[in-house]
Amino acid sequence: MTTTPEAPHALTALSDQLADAVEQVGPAVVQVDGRPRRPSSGVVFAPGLVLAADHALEREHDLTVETACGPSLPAELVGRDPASDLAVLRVPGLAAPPAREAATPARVGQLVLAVGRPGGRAVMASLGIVSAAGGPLRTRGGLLDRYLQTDATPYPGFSGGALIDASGAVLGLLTTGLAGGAALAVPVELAWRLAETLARQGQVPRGWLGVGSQPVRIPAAQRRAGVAEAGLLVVEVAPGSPAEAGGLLLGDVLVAVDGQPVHDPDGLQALLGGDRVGRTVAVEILRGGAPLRLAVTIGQRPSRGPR
Amino acid sequence: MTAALLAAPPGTGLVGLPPEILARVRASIVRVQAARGGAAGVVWRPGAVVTNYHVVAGAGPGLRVVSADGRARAARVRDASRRLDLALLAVEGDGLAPAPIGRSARLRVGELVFAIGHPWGEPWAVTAGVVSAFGGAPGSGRDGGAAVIRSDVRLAPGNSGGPLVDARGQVVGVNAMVVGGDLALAIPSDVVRRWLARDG
Repeated sequence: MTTTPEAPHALTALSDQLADAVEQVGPAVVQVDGRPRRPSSGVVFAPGLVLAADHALEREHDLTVETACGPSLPAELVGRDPASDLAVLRVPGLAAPPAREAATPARVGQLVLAVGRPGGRAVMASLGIVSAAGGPLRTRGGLLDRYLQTDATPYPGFSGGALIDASGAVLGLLTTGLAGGAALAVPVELAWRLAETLARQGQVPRGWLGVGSQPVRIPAAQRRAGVAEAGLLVVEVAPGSPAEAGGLLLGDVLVAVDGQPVHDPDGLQALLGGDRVGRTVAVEILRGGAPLRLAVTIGQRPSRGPR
Repeated sequence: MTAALLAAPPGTGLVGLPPEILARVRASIVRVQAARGGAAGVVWRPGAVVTNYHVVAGAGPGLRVVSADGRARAARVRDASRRLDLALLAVEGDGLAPAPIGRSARLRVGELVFAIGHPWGEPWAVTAGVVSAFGGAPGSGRDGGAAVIRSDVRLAPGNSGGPLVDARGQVVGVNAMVVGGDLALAIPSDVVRRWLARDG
């Protein structure tokens, strides 16, 4: 039974690097206990603050967090956002250092590791690539601007874990709770931004116009210079909504909001993102074939309250 | 990392074992032909092949091992442990080179591993993944402290008894089963080593 030492080659270097990456992110990946018998994962994004998967928190009290070392710590739910499947927990006494954010966005084809801690003391990992990067995505709880998809195996309890690159930097927050059980991740820059909003405000404000709409083709005869081929036919204006206050009428065709063309309801919803809430923006429409520009103050979507 | 990807030989996937390492370990992997179909085995030392107990359970006198060069040799079960799911086969004839055996205790979560076997009858096929965890899998009957390497390599019927190999081409485990469709379990090489030492 002899073991011949092998000369190191590129593959062993890569293998060592992947194990190093898991080791590096490991302390920032915690176990989250927020539902019976099936722990999930979370990532420390700021001192004492953990980002977890909203869908894995089936209760709002008696939450605990476990790290690689030490006892399980009580955690307080600070805020949750079903649209992005993110939740923020405050964990007093949590010594784990925040995870390192990747400096550049994930690229399709990039080698990644999925890292979670459903089993307490030890982290788990699986290997794959970034399979897709896109958005907006209609999710269980609303609309997510951008998402990543991976073919790395999402083991049970990996939701809330980290999708990392080969250097151990976080590319996204893993979850299978966004759409149909697929292994998706909220890109880290977006996830961290939403996490900070949740930590500050307890919720993520969603813009609200208050129209029901459907895509329509705009006949060539009605198209002026600069007007797109498609728009959104307003088929409903909610009473008391920003759209009503701004003068939108049933039968108007939306062609642009804040200078951005709109072709479909998801695209419109994406334009109403957090930073446009409360702002008065230009809404360009066709009314009876004539172009018209209205000023509408984007409201905040009425809260659905805790699930 | 880029260098490793570029160094991956064609046909061995994204992160492939270098051909010279693959060729050497291949020569130490056999196909085990029992009454109920075929699986894999590892030549652990001269004339001795390690495979899973469940591969050879109830095997009659027709037990054979076939090496990568196509040669078939008669084999008999010399020892077996149902608890560890391990079996030791005595193989007649020489010319089977023992595999380089590594230390499973040195494995780290995230490091690359390769399963070599005959999934769905595909001969000497290689699948790649990483070490996911150590220990048992809930509900697998292997928990309660039993040492197991969990990985995300793709296993299929025909991989049983075949080796889990690290990036250095050393055997670090014996593939035993799949849990939940995507979690592969392997018996650590250190467990096999201790079992064989007790076996004498």
